[in-house]
Amino acid sequence: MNTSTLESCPNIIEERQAIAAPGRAIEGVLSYPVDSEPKYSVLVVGPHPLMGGNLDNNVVRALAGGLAANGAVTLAFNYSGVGQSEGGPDDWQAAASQFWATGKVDQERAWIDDANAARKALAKLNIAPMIVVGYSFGCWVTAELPADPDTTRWVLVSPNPNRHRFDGLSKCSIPLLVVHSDNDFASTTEQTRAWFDCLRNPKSLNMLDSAEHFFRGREQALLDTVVQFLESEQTP
Amino acid sequence: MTDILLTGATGSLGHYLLAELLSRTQARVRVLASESEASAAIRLGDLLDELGINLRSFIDSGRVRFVRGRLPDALDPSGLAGIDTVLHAAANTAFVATGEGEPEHTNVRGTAALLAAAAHHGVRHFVQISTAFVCGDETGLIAEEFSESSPPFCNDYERSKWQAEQLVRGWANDQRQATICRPSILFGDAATGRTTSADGVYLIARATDALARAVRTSSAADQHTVPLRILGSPSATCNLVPVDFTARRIVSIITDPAMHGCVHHITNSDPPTHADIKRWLEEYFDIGGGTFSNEHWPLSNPNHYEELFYALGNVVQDYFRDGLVFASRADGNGQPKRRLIDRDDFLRSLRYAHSRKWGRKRPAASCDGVDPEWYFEHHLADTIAQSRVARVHNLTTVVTYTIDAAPDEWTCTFDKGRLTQVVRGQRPESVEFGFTITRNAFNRLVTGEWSPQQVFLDGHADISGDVERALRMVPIIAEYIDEYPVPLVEAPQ
Ligand SMILES: NC(=O)c1ccc[n+]([C@@H]2O[C@H](COP(=O)([O-])OP(=O)(O)OC[C@H]3O[C@@H](n4cnc5c(N)ncnc54)[C@H](OP(=O)(O)O)[C@@H]3O)[C@@H](O)[C@H]2O)c1
Repeated sequence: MNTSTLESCPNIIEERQAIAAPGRAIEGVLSYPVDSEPKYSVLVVGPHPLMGGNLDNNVVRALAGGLAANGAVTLAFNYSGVGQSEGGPDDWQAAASQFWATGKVDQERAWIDDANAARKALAKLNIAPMIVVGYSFGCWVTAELPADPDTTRWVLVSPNPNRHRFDGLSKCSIPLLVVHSDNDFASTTEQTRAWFDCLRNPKSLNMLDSAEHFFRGREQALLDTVVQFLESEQTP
Repeated sequence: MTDILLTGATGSLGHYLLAELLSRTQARVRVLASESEASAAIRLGDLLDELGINLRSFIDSGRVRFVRGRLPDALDPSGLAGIDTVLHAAANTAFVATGEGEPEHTNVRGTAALLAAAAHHGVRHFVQISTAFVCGDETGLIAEEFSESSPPFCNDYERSKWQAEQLVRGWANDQRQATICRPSILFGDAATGRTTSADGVYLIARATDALARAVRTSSAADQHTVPLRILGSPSATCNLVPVDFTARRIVSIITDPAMHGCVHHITNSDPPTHADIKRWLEEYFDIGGGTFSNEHWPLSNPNHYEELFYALGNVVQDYFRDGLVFASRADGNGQPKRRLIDRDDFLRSLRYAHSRKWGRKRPAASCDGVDPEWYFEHHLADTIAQSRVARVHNLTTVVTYTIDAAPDEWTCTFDKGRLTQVVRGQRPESVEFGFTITRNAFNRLVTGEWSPQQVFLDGHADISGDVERALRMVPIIAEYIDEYPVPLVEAPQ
C-alpha cells in the first residue's frame, strides 16, 4: 500500500470549479495527482454547513487532498450559501432559530441536491470506479442521494445514527466502511455498533481511538483507514 | 490635621471625594486600594488628572498614601492605625444578587470588617456612603433618619445598603460617631457633564441610542413614530444628583462637626420627571413615538423595537419612582426648590457619555490583543442587542468563555436572544456549555481574522459541557462576529 502522508501531500493539483446545481452555481475543488492518471474518483461530502462544513474543514481537506495524493481524482464542494456557493437560507434569523432549537434547517434538502450535482459533475470525468465518502452530516446526505449504479464503494465517517435515519443504505449492496471514534460526542461506541449490526452486508466498521467527532490531529489515521479500505476491496 | 481612610476612591463618586478632600481640606488621606500602590497610583492619577488635580504631588508630599486591601477578607486592619475618620464609599452596585454573593459580600460583610478594624484602632468618626433608596419601595416623605424596620426593597442592592446602615448605626457609641450620607442617583459633573459611569440612568440613554440606530437603519419604521411602550408614569421622578455636588456636600459634612452623627439626604428637591427625561432623550436622539404604559415588567408581546430598547433589562423602572420625596435639612424648609439638573445639564452629560461611547473602554493596543474584559463586559454587552443574534428569539442558554492564558472566564446568560447577564469568574451550575480558547485565537476570532469553526478545528479551542448545543451556537457566534468584529484600533476616546 502506498499511503501518502498529509504533511507531504504535495503532488496534487487543486482546481476551483463552479458546479451547476439546481438554480445556482456551487463552489467545488477538484484534486488529482500531478504525475499519474487518477485510478478512481471520490466525492467528499462534508459536515453540516452550520457546523463548520466547508472546503476548509480539516476532515474534508484530509480526505480530498490525501486521497488525491493516493491516486484519486476527488471533488469536494461548499454547500449552497457557504463560501462562494450561491443560494443558502433566505432568512438567517429563521434558520438560526430553527437550528438552535432542533439542530436541523429546512434548507437540508437543497444540500442533498448540491451533493447530487457534485456527483454528476465528477461522473462526467469518467474515471471509474466512483467512491462516495460522507463525513458527519455528509453521511446522511450521501444516504439520501439517488441510487447510482456507478458508485462502487461507500465510506461513512462519524455518522450519527441518533440524529439521522440511513434508510438509503439498503438501496444497494456495495462495500461499506463505517469509521467511528470511540469518544464521539454524537454517538457512543455501543450506539454506533448496535446501528451498524443492523446494516446490510458487505460492511466493515473501523474504530479509531480518541479522535472525537472531529479528528483534530488524527486526520492521518483517518486517511490511512480509508485508503486501506479502498485498496483492500476489489472493484466488483 | 485629620487622617482619613477613604474606600472606593477609584469609583465614580470616590475620586471626586478624594479631589474634594485634597483641594478643600488639609486632611491626610489613606486610600484603600485592591491593587499594588503603583497601579493604584496610575489609575487614580489618571482620574484626578481629568479633574485638574496632580495626585503625584500629593503622594510626594505625604498627603496621600495607599493601603492595600479588599473588603471584607483582604483587609489588613493595621492600615487603620492612626486614622480619625473613615469615609466608606466602596460598594458593590449590582442590583441583583450574583453567584459570588454580591452585593451582600462587599456591602454588608465588607462594611462589618471595616467597622471592626475601625473600632480596634479607635477611629472616632465613621462616614458611611449609603443611598437614599434604603427606603426601598416606600413612598411619601422619607425622613433623614435611620429606619427602624426594613422596608420592602426593590432589589438586593438596596437591601444590602440598608443592612450596612444598621451595622454602622450599631457601631456608634458615646466615644465614636457614625454619619450616614445618602445620595440619590449619581449623575454627571454639573459643570462639564463628565461621568465615569455609563450605567445607572445612562442605561436608559444607551437603550435609546440602540433603538435610534436600529430605527434609522431600517426602512420599516419612521423614527418619530416608533411603537414603544415605556413602563411607568410620566410624573414619576428620577432623583438625579450631580456627582461633584454630591462629593462637595459629603466633604462639607465631614468638615462640620455639627453635622456628624446624623443621616443626610443628598438629593434633588426638584428632580426631573419621567416625561422630562423622555423629552430630552427624544430631542437628543431625534426620535419619537414612545408612549407611557402602566403595564408591568416583563412586557407582554414586545415588538422588535421594545426588545431592542429593553435589551439591557428593565432599565426604566429601576430609576423612576412615583410620589417619593426625600426630606433634606440642607434644602431648608420653605425655601424655593432648586433644580439641580435641567435640560441643558442633562444633555451636556449625555453628550459627554455618548461621545465616549458610553464608557466603552478602548481595546488594548494590537500588540496586547483585545482585552477580554472589555470585550465581554462592554463590547458584547453594548452591541449584541442590535445584532441579528437578538432576533434569534429562542436563544436561551448559559455559556462560559474561558481565555486560557489569562486565565479568565466570563459567563454569559442569554434569554430569548437577549444577553441578560455577563459575569466574570466562577461558573454557575446553570452553564450549559463552555468554550476554552487560547489568547491568540481569541484575538484572531473577535477581530474576524479566523472563523469560530477554524479556531476549533485547528485545535485552538475546546468545548466542555453539551457539545451538540455548543456547536449549534457556533453559527450564531460567527454571525455576531461578522457583524461586529473588533476593529484593531478603536475610535478615539
Ligand atoms: N452610583 C450611584 O448612583 C449611587 C447612588 C447612591 C449611592 N451610591 C453609593 O455611592 C458609593 C460610590 O458609588 P459609585 O457609583 O461611585 O460606585 P463605583 O463607581 O462602582 O465604585 C465602587 C468603588 O468601590 C470599590 N470596591 C468595590 N468592591 C470593593 C471591595 N470588595 N473592597 C474594596 N473596594 C471595593 C471599587 O474599587 P475597584 O474599582 O478596585 O473594584 C470602586 O472604587 C457607593 O457606596 C454607592 O452605594 C451610588
